[in-house]
Amino acid sequence: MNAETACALTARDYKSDLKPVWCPGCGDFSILMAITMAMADVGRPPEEVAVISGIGCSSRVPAYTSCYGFHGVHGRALPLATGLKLSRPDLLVIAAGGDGDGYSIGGNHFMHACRRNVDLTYIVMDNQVYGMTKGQPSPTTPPEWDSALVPGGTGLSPFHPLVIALAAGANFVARTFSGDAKGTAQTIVEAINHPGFSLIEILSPCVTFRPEEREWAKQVHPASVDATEDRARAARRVLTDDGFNTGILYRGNRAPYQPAFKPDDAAKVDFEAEFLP
Amino acid sequence: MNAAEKPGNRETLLAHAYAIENEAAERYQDLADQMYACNNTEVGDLFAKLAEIEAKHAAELSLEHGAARTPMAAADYAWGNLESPEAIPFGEMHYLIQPHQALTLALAAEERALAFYTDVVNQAPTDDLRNLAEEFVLEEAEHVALVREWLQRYPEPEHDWDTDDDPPVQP
Ligand SMILES: Cc1ncc(C[n+]2csc(CCOP(=O)(O)OP(=O)(O)O)c2C)c(N)n1
Ligand code: SF4
Repeated sequence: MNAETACALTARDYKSDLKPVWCPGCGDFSILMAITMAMADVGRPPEEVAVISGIGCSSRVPAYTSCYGFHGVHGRALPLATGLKLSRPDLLVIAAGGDGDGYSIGGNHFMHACRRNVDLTYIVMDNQVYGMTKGQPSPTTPPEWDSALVPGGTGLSPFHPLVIALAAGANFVARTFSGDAKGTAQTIVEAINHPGFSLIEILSPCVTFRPEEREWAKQVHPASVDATEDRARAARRVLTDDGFNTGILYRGNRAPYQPAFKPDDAAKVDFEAEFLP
Repeated sequence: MNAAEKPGNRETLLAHAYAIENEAAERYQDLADQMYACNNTEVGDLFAKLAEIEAKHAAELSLEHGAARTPMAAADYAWGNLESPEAIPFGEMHYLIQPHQALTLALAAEERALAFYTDVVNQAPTDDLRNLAEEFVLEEAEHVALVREWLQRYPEPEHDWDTDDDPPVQP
């Protein structure tokens, strides 16, 4: 990090002029703040950062930053981010979105992004519901959650993103809570600085369709143990915790996947030419 | 300086004061924008007014004391990983919030800032630091009084204040 640039940039420099249209009280506001604080701390100027998302309330986040961004197709944040990072390794690439986007329609991409271990940071704003489409259950919704759209609940076991990330090969795994914006910002910084694929699962209340999630503020607690480098131990911990432990769970040491970049690659030059005026 | 330690000299107090006022101004403005986005203009206007007051205070600090020129590392602020005392947490908001509720949240925020400066006065190791902190206590006490006065103009919300005739979740 260039010390002069780092001093000069503040969180405000990473905010766009667009005003978020999230519901007041939504956890995503604090996560946006955490992302901009983390960016200022890392110190890469906005034009060297790309924020890539799919579709959902949470996936609106690229538009609210001043970085380059791409608001892609539902569930496809990770393939877009992967392609970008492989062709432009000089950029800092952040993928972001919701539990529906990342674990449901994007579930397959999620597993393989962990497996490929490209140097990306993936921020999932998990509210255990599809917010944008008005409250359908997502893969992380508890089985007993009863609502007009799922009378009696789904009865289905929730997907366990952290365990799946560990099993599939992610190199950094953490859980934070949106209400702890500064702690979340620090974790994002650590994730960015850690090589390879980093998952940060952020519990982010959807106050409109899951108003009971406002109570998460009282339920979250920092994990009583430090991050481990042992994948199996991390998986055991997270399988047996109450789902509200926060902190960095796992720091691995797999080498990231980054094939050598060949600027004279003919296919790429042809492809780029299609987009140039 | 460890997190949770109160500022112990003039420079660190100024950095804390600037952070408190600046973050409060930004937060009030963000909350005003949230309220405008969901057409709650009455509360939006109140938050916008509070943002203006806090921004003025931050600008004065910067002008009179050069506070903006003494930024510190995030970990060195006395509130550590918590929000600075005068910022209303985002999670407290509701799109149908009424002026009385908004001002109650603002009052709590202003009182937290007042308590912060009062603690600095009580623990100040030098007269110079105590005098400066007392200035901030007086200023913050004015804000508390102002919000209290505004609060009296608005009735407490009815029990069904959050009833929406077009609710997001259909029963
Ligand atoms: C291909 C496709 N299928 C379905 C949808 C409808 N859709 C839009 S957002 C969304 C789910 C959003 O949930 P999540 O990703 O958890 O984000 P949130 O809104 O909760 O932040 C769905 C199913 C879509 N836009 N495109
Ligand atoms: S519907 Fe839920 S997730 Fe979407 S903006 Fe509102 S509170 Fe946030």
